[in-house]
Amino acid sequence: MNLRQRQFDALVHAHAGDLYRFAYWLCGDPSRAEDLVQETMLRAWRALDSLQDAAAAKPWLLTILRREHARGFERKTLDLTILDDGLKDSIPDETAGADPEQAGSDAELREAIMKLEPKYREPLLMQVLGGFSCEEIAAELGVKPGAVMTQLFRARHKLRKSLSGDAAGRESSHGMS
Amino acid sequence: MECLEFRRRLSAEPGSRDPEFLAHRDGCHAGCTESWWRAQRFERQLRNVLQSAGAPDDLDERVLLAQATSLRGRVRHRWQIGLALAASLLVALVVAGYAWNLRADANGGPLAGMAIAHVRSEAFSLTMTQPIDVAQMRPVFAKRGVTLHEAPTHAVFAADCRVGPYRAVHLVLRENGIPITALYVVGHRIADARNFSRAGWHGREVPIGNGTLVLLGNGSAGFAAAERALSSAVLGPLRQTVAPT
Repeated sequence: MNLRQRQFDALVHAHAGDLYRFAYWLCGDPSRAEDLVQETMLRAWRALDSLQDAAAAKPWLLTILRREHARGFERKTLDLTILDDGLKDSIPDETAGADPEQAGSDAELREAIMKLEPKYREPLLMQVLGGFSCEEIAAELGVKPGAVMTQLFRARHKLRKSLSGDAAGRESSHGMS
Repeated sequence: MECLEFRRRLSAEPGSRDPEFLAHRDGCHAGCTESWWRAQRFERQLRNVLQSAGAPDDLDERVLLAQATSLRGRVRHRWQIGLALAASLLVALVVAGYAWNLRADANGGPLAGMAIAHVRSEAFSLTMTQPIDVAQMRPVFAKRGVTLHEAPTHAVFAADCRVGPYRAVHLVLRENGIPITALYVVGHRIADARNFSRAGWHGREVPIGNGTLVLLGNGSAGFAAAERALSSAVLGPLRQTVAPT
């Protein structure tokens, strides 16, 4: 096995899972998420020589994935009705058997995440799953850092508001809403 | 940092390590510390929920399989393109070769060109009208190492010449007033007889003995008789070649 192939194998083993999660929450469809990971990795293979820094691998892959998703989005505009109705069933319930109150809260949160508009959901995923800073998200999305801060603030505000009996949701509504 | 700014920052970047942000968290008595803790709990829940979307167990293997398949497909595709190009080139070469042969057949080979050039340089030979006899022809053939078995009739000119790099016997036969040039090129035998038309000349190349007879005229009338006559002259009357078409 040559060095390039070894590098690619390592990349797949290290990041395929993260990519899948990001893709899943981005598009809300397990099959499409897997396709996105496949397409992303194939593109990464072709452009592997441009990856010089191992630490930059994850943001690099997420950027490719986001662009792949955007291309797919242009080809086939996502049907938000289907997203709302069909997505709930495809969300994995990892909390089955856990504390019922917590499980209920997590289910509400999952549903709320999927209901977030893409303009709020994408920067939130980039921050929480991708580890991007506000400045990096701004650079990726081509907007100002202040706009990203607002999107993140509103995303969290909407999520917390959706959780029943959450005082913090009400509390955080100060300032940027 | 004021409380309002702190809480805006907290909702946008709850994991911020900005010293000013952290200092406000630790020093504020208006509930910001509690807000920070609540935000961290929420963040943990959010991260857990996002992480709960587990990838299929065999995702890595499937990705690597897709990559290997794509890689092989590309290699195969390159091979197919290469083979297609090679096949196209081969077909082009065959067609070009066939066309070249057709053209060569129609124009005659290099010998035909040299024969025409020679006749043009000795155009006076075509004006000869007086028959010559065997005694005049025999030394010409002998000079080229050819034994004259039977003298061609109607010969009006005979000379030992060079046609290009080849030694040749140059005869002009005149039958019914039409001159036909017969060049017997010694030591250069073509594979097959062929007719040609070139530069206004009609011609025929015929392998005879260890040489080639090139006939040239304004038309092909009289070529058959001339070929028979030269065959008899070079090979003897019993070893003539097949009559030309």
